[in-house]
Amino acid sequence: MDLFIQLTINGLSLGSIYLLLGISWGLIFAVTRTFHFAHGATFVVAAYAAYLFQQLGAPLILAAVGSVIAAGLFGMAVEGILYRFLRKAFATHLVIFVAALGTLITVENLVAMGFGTDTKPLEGFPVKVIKIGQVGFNNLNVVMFITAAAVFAALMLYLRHTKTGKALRAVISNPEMAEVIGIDVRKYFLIAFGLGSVVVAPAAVLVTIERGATPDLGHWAILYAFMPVIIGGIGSLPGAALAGLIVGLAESIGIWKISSQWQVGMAFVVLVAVLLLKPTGLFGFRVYRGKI
Amino acid sequence: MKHRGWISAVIFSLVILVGASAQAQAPKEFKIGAILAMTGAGSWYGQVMSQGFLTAMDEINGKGGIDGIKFRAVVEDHQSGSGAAAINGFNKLVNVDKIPFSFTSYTGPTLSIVPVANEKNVLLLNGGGVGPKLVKASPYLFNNRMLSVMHGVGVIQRAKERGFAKMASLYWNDDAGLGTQKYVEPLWKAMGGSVVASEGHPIGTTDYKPYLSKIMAANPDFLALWQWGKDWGVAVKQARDMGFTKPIMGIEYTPDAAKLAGPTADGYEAVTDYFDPKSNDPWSKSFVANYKAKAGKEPEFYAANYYEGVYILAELIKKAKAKGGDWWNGKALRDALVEIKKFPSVYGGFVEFNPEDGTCRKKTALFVVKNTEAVFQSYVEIK
Repeated sequence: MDLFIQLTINGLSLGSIYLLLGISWGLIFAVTRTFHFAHGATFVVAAYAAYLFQQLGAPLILAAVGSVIAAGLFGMAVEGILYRFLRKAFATHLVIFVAALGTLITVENLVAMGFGTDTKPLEGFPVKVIKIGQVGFNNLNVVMFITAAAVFAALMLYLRHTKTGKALRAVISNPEMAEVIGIDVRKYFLIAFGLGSVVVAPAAVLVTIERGATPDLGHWAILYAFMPVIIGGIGSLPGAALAGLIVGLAESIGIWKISSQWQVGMAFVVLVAVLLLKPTGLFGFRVYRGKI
Repeated sequence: MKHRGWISAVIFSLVILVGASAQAQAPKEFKIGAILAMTGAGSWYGQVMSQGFLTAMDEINGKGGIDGIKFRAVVEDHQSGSGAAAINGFNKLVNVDKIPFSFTSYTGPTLSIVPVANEKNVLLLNGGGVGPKLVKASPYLFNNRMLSVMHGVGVIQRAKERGFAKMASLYWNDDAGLGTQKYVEPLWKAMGGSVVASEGHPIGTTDYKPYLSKIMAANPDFLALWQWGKDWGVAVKQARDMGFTKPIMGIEYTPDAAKLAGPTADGYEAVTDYFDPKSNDPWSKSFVANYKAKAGKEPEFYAANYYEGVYILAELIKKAKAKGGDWWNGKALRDALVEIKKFPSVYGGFVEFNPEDGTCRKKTALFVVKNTEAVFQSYVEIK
């Protein structure tokens, strides 16, 4: 039983990161319909920005704030410079996807050239172990869960109760109609990229504290960013959040009775199972239109 | 007498031909290959290994090379363990660059290129891979680092010394890690110990919590790590952060992994190759100084192995050349190695090869990590 409890705690902690990845990518995709593969690059930029700020002497909390700002600016730059240009040139979704993939690979390589490929740790978090019998976890796991819950709640409140949030929801629901009623869709695309990128930064900082940052983190991040969105249902942020937790728990508890090396496979088992039973995802009601 | 002119002409022609042939044997440069992890999860290895042999080449080339002929390296990438990438890179080295000698690293990629090396008579020197399958893998493969099974035996000897009975292990799910686990665990059981958990994981894993959860639930006396690179640092950190308080022992120490683990690495014990960058040995000192100037950091044993490898190759070239004939080829270099066997080591002392199985013996020691530094405890005699 100890092992089951331990795996559940691990799953919640891992799921919290997947939750942040899922809602951040899900917001961008729901608003812009852009398969933003370069979101992995935003994750890498956020992780290394935190590392860089700390190396420059900033305490951990300020480094984290710097990371959030850097991620937001980077996300908006990708939209404002790259995607907007491609859309103007009537590029297809495939072309934009390939450009995004290229951006991810380019950023990972630039980071590797600038910082080296060895793991960069983020120091200064006072880890305190909490041990109950054979079950062990630490305050970082708790911070991950609280951060994910707080960011999700804040994002939902923002989308539901602010003018900008309501406009974003309108674009998600029907971009053509939103444009007809005078919403500047291009402006809200930019805001969605900025907001989504800001939301992913806490995940990058927490992962870097726990495991250190490497330039290839972006590939891992993008995989776990779109998986919760597909499972939760495109357009549904609560769906992406719940799916993030489910994927984390499935990966962790799934190895209770089988070898741990099959952990990653568990996420795909959930993905395939959900798609077979409900192709639009847990909370999705159609493929290209969503509701928050 | 009337044939004298004709005979002279023949002799003169022969002299010219022999001279030309002898000249053709001497290459313009000693072009050698290297199949390393230049990208991917293990790119740290590629960096330090290449910096190691480039430092040695700079030193030798700076003194005019060997009899005026300088070294040049062509590096190919096996992408941190891809056998296919290793074969592609090695085929290019052999067929395009025509190299008779290549450095190699990692167990899997090294085993992948062995058939081509056998066919094309290319001498391979591995200073990084440690898997048990490297033993007797090829008459052309030699390893100038002790293999992991030997280090693993050192770990269980130490565990026995400390009075432990229940072992848990966390290992790379590849030839090196799995091979070590399969070799060491029966020995541990034969020594009267038991194995309560064995968890294999992919190279470069960043989240060890699932594996460690099972290990903690099994309540071992100690945890053995059959893993390398930064992985041991991440595993130790996450184990301690999860509240695992039992001793952790392994067969790897690298400064970057220790830095990553920070204070949680304190007390981690490693049985591994012994290269001391603070040694007073004159050769070690000059290597450390030149490496630091080139790479901007202190070398560890991986860099030392590949640095040392160039000097071993230099000895082989001199020996093969002195024997005459067609000497710039893998067979002549291999014959020279089999003949010499024992070479000076940059660790201090010697590295001695066993031509029967390609393994070597060199300094091995027990270290304990303190403030992220590996503190030497004692030499280890692997039984």
